[in-house]
Amino acid sequence: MATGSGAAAAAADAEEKESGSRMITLTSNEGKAFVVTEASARQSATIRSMVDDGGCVDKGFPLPNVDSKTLARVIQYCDEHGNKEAHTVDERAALAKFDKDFIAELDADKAFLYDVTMAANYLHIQGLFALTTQCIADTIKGKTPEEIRTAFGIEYDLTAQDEEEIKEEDTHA
Amino acid sequence: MADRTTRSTPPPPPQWAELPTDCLVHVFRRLDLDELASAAPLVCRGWRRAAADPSLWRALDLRRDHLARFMPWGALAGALARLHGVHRFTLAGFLRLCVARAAGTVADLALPPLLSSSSSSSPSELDHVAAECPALRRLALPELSPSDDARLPSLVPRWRRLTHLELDSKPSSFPAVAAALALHCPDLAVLRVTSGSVKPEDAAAMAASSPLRGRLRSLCLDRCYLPRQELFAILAGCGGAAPLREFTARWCVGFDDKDEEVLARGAAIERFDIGGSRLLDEPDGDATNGDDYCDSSYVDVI
Repeated sequence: MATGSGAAAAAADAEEKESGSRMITLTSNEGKAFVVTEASARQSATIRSMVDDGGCVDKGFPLPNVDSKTLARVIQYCDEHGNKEAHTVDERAALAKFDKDFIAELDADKAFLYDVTMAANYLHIQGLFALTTQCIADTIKGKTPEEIRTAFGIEYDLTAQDEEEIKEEDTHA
Repeated sequence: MADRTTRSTPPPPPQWAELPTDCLVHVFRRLDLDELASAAPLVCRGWRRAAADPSLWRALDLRRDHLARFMPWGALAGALARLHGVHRFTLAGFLRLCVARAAGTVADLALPPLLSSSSSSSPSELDHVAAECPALRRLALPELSPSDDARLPSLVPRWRRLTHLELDSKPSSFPAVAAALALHCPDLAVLRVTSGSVKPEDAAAMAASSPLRGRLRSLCLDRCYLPRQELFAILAGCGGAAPLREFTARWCVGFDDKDEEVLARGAAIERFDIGGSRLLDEPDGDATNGDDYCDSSYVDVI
């Protein structure tokens, strides 16, 4: 707000920011534009800091690391958490329900879960990143390494030397 | 996403092995230590790299479920035995593994009972912790073997950043431990001793005039055998230059929690709680053997 032309303008700006009425354009790596409220976009710490640094709000933000399908899903999360209130018990319960359903869908599609996790990390969307990493951790829990590889489609690439090292460090006691 | 529902039977692409290390570390932070030790590093090279991140091993609570984990029939012992052909996987081995992964950064460590009472010639787990964990801030120790008890005062100087110390059982070397803490641990603020008999020399080591008390903000002697006389020695001169903010001696034997003189002497302390303490350890109707000082009612049962 360095260039504000007086207190009134700054106040109006703050009010606008507060109501989240300003719209921001996010562009996927496929060039598809998504217009979201500022409140929604501010769920992303990456975008929030660019906006606060007095950045290129009008030009929008190109996101070269996020494809359209992933961005649409990420925005779905940000809209829910950015545009809705969470003051009452009911409102918080509704958000928790949203999160539960949201992650259940991703859990069923591990490839998509990966894309959303990467996007949440890149955009620094804390709540979403916590949700997806917890989901990944829950998938790991109680499984043998073999079962984990199957669940995530990971190929075994440990060499004989790796195995020997692991064996040594686990048994040197 | 109605446009891409065709991706129904997904043979997942090989991307998960490529998840960046910093992302994986966030995932691994949500796992239990045993999963981190026994499953994650054996999945693939990328996961092995992430599981070796020292930051994941800074807080080691080896107390949780330790019986289920380290008994020979436990899940962790079984998993490791199958994977590595290790005959027995012990607490000592697991502790060493965790401490090695942390690479000197362990800040928070809670040890369960069952530390092997090693012969005094071979180094014990406690020696290992002293040598490998110089950054400890919080340490919780179980009842120590006689040789570890005797060694504790000489190990304290290794933990110069200690802020919290919890002793499940008061060591007989307590006065020397207190002196070492006062001398070598400038940040020590919280001391908890949660069973054992507080003797006059122990009380003197905790008295307001002692060097140790200059450091302490919180002192807990819950469940100790704490005679009224020793309690008075500890409380004498409270509210001085470096006042204790918190003192608890709950469920103790040796004084009464309604004793007005005790309450009066503790009045200067911000949080003073002696609830549940009794002058004598009366058998509450349960069939005890009459051995007052060793009654199981104030010895923690694991």
